[in-house]
Amino acid sequence: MDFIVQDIKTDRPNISGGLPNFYRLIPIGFYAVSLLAIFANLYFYSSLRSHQMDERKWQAEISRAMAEQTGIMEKQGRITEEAHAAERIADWVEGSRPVQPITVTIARSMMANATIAELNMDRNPAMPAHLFVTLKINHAGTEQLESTLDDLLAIDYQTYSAQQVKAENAIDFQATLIWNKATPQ
Amino acid sequence: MSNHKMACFLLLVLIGAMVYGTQEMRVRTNQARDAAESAKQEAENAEFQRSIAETNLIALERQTYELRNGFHEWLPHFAAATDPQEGEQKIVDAVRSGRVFLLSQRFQLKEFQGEDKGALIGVLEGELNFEDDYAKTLNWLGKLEETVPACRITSCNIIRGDRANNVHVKLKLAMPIMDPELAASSTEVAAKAAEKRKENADS
Repeated sequence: MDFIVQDIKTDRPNISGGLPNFYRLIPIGFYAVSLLAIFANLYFYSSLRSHQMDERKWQAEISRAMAEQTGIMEKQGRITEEAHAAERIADWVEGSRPVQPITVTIARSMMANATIAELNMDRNPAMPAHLFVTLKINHAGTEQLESTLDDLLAIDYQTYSAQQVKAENAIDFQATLIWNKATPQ
Repeated sequence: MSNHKMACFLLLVLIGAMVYGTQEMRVRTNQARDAAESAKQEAENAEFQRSIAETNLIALERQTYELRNGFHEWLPHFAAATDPQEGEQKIVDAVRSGRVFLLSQRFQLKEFQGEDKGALIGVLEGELNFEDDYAKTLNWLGKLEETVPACRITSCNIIRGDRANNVHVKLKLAMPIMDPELAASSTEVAAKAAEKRKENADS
């Protein structure tokens, strides 16, 4: 103990009196606090560095995630835009089914004596997939009309709001033709 | 104050300074730990948001797959007419190659406005009057719809022609005019998508 505190605690009669024993605790405390401070600071410093490294790592993760999210959002925007364009095109295509197969089917369904006086097909401007058909057949009866409608059904067209006016040896028919999507191909 | 007391005082000051310094270090460490924790929370949140966005993207891709696939298939037919001249030329070419006897033809551009304007900027409306052999005319009509599939026949009126086997056809058709910018960008995207599909098929 004397060795530890000799510098300040040895009795020096010519200069000053010794300190009370209680004061011996001060240098001991100094040594203890010094040691503790060194270890604590080493510990805190290493923790500080570790936390700073962690923070940098998480910040990098944030930047990566946000960059990826921005990329995803841009791609999502492009897909949405493309889907809108695709819907527009699909609507157009849906209302542009060929009419030639219908005309050919109607022409081929004519029986021996029957003749087509006029065939008229108009698309509904609001619903272009709906085709308004007017057909005037000479030398024909209901049998001819049934045959024609059966042939149209065979190419997946159904008639709606059908009306027919039968005159002498002729028939006027009008209906809306709708392609029947439900029919399995 | 004796030297002993001065030395004790100095030691006490040093002890205080070390305690203060250590305490400061502890505070800084705690602050760094809190900042790291906060950054971790933010990173987890950002990752969660990213995963939600990715899930939404996958769902959107799945939902619109068939629609976009159909779009890519039809795109070349629509992208072929990005101005009225191109659209008119395609129809005129089809008439010429069919060699049907054309009585009259008239074209006019109807531009879409507001909400109607999207992928299609307008439509070229055409009125064709021709008279020719029944089989030839109907074959030509089929050929027209096959070679210009984007073209919509809005009205078709067929009556008997002047000669025995002839038919007189009045045709109203609509040729869609696609937005040139969209056509260019979509063609590029479609080409990339086709390449990707090919790569997937190969692997």
